[in-house]
Amino acid sequence: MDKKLVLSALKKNAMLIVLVLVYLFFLILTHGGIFEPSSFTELINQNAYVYILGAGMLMCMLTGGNIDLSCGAFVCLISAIGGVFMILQGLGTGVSILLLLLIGVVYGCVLGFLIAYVHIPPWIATLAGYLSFRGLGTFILSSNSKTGSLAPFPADFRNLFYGRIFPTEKGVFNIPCFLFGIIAAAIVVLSVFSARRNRIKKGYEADTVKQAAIKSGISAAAIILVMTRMAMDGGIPTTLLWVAGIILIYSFITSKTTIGRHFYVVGGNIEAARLSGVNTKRIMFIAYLNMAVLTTIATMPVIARSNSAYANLGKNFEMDAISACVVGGVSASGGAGTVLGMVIGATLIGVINLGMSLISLDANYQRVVKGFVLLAAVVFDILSKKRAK
Amino acid sequence: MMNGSTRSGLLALAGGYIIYLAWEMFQAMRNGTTSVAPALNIVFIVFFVLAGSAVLFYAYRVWRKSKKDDAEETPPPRPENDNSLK
Amino acid sequence: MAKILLEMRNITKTFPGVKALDNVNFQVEEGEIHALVGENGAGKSTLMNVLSGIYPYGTYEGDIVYNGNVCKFNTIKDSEKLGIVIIHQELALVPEMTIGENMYLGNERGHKFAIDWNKTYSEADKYLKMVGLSESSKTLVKDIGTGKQQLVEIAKALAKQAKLLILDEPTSSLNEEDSRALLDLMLSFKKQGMTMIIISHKLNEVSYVADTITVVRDGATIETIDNSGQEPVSEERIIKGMVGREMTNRFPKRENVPIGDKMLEVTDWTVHHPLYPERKVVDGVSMYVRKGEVVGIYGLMGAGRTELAMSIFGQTYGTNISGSMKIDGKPVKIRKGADDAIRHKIAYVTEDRKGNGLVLSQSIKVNTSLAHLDAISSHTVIDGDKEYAVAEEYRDKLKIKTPTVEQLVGNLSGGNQQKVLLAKWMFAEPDIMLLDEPTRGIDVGAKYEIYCIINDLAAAGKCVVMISSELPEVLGMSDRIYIMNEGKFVGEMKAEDATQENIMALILKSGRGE
Repeated sequence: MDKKLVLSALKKNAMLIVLVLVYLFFLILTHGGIFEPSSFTELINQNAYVYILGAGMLMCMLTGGNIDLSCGAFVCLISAIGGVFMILQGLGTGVSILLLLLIGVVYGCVLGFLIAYVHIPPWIATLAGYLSFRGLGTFILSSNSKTGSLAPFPADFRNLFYGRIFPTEKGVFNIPCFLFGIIAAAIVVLSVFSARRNRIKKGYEADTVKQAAIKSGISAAAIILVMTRMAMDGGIPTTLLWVAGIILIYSFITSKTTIGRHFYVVGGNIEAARLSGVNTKRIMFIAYLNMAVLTTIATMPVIARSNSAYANLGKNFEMDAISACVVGGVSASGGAGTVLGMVIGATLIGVINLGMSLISLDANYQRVVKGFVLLAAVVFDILSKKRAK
Repeated sequence: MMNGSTRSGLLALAGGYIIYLAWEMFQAMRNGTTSVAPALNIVFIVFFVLAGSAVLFYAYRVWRKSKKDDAEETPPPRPENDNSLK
Repeated sequence: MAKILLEMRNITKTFPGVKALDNVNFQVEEGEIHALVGENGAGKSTLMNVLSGIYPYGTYEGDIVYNGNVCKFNTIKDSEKLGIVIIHQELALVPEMTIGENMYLGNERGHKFAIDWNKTYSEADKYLKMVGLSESSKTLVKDIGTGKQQLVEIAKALAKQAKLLILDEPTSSLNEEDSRALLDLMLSFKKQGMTMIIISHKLNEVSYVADTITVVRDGATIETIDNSGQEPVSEERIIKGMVGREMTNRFPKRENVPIGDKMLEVTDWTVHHPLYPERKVVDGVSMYVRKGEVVGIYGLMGAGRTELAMSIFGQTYGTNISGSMKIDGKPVKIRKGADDAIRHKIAYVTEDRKGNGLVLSQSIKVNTSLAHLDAISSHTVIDGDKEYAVAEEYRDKLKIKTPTVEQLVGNLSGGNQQKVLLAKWMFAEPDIMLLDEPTRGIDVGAKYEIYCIINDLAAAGKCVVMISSELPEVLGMSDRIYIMNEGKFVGEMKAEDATQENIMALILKSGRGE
């Protein structure tokens, strides 16, 4: 009986276990390098855009396996315009961000309108952006700068997206960061147990104390571990807050709200959704509006980190976001997938990339690994589809 | 339903990307920017081209099947009687 | 005594948590037509999937003995090699291809790399003639009707050198005439020595065509009835085996339900086809339904019944809709979209529960709450506990058979799916329920339960419109009946005046009157 429970738990968390195994693998290969405090900060800074774009891509994929091919190129365009605003025009950081968001909203509305109301297939509608935005961005960059890139971005902007909260020297233990970890862990434990108490009170099936303790204990320990390591590297990266905020908001939307539910049912059976009073066109519209806005937000940590806007910025970002979703178990035919799954998928890809760059693996080997990860995800998708039948 | 055809689109994307990776590897090899042994490199390139093509082919099959399902699931157009025109 | 062609011994097949087949024994004699009947989810299809190798050897217990040899099929190809061919309920033809291409799909003639098209088409034509089709094998499948497509499926099976042909619900999408032709074709194959297994819900067809009838219930074979005598076995006799008790009354009585004022009234309702706007699909229909009343709308397929209901339900079908609507005596104008119709307390329970009724990949819970999420959420945040409670309540009320409401709807049997669909719309708390073919494709027992639910709805003062193409059902359940043909209402009858004969007469007369 117990064995069965453990087995089903293993099955449910297969990707999480793969993540741990891959991490341990690189831990050995890098002689502990991936456990250095700086690696944790690097992981979050390097992959911030994957999490943010992944959240948007998840919403698109939920509506029926639809994707956005244009987001990588749109990152390039936004970064070019952002460079013009902040570096050349000298507009304030706040004003620039607002203006960029406005551009994102406009593009999102156009895209959403074309897909939801004109019924242009998403991949065609976004392919137009994919083909034109990078060219447009390059044009803006080259007509404003001899080198074809704009740099550097203002310090307050960089602090906002690539800084530290309550920074301390590296190697000095950062107390706020540690406290933040303790509080987050406590919230996780408390919420698991209060949800359990609630279910018991209403007479529903609930986890045993042991299960709840294991569940919350593991997450709490992981959070505290990560935060103590980050505390040794100068404090909480602001990127982490942005990413965590977006992940929390989107897990809440997808799991707890009516609009999130609508995304799942539209992906599950669009006709049934329509006849049940769901405004299916509005859902498609929101999916792409949301995607464009999140793409704009994702651009911020990217340009803050690179500290320049250049033509190749955002290349293959759409593939990274899609891979994170697919590896994270988001169904390629829509209607199934969670934010948590996407986060695990993105982290897995991030850990692999970071590990490979730490052991300075040849670029071709990196491609080989990337290809195999994607192949594995495809095979997994095919198998799970087969089993579903 | 739209699901089958969009799933095939995603699969096609994955297949295409794997082939694109093979192309990048080829470029790196030609420009001499890789330290991987050429023989091994070629093995990987060939494998990726084959695997990518296989995924592409599978995507095509899914797409064709989804077209077939479409025809099944939307019941044949009702024998709407043309008399109603009169 | 003819030779036993197929014997399935002590077959047991378990799915996680469910025993789908429990020690089933099943024998088919050579040259007979053997019918397999039973409620949905009784295990008929599972049994046939075991036989044809869809569930490979090793995933079940027991033996398949075919022609005296124990068989271990790993794929469907293995069973086809021995001449066991299954024709599934859903047609598996590619509409864009020709009949000939379809027939030899995966079984191509000629060399491995070069298909011999001449051979393909000439052989295809031969088999088409055998099933009585005069179409050329070069015709595209999409250009022929469903009835003929079914025949193509059979020709395809013949081309695989079938010795044992399994037909799963072959007539479910055919009209009366095509069904009869198909059954007669089966009888003529029998004369030529072919052995067939037919799975069907239509008991009149079963007793017409079968020599032997095996009843399956709850994953076990209950009894085998001999039907080769002069007098065909009565439907009641088969039903008794299927449900395990005598069904004295197929339609439950509705007693002392007071009929109130007019709740829904539609006048001069005209709907045009969404793609061909010049074509009228519903033409000048006027009708009303009173509180506590069950009104039947009878008509053949394509009479415009579904279109009428959907156009009333927030114009979810059709363009250029004209006419007036009154709810509870007050004229209303419903905006386009199901949400506004739901707000006006109208529900439309679709005829096509898999296509546009349910989200099969989601749980019972999610499906139940879908049309009325507002009731279990505040400020768009869903109260998960409340949702669970609601789903449990309806599972209880409608006797949905499931271990938990977290179960995916796709895993339920047809009857239970239909109940979830009804639960969804009952939870939306409508005053007016438009039920479109509420008992299509579900078994006798579940039908009875659905009828009881309809009666309860009427007793609660709702007004129910029941659209059906099953005449006995309309006669048995309705207080009043509208008869629809070619987009128009051609008659209205009180239940006590209506008979099968005078309703059919009305339809025939209106058809000729054109």
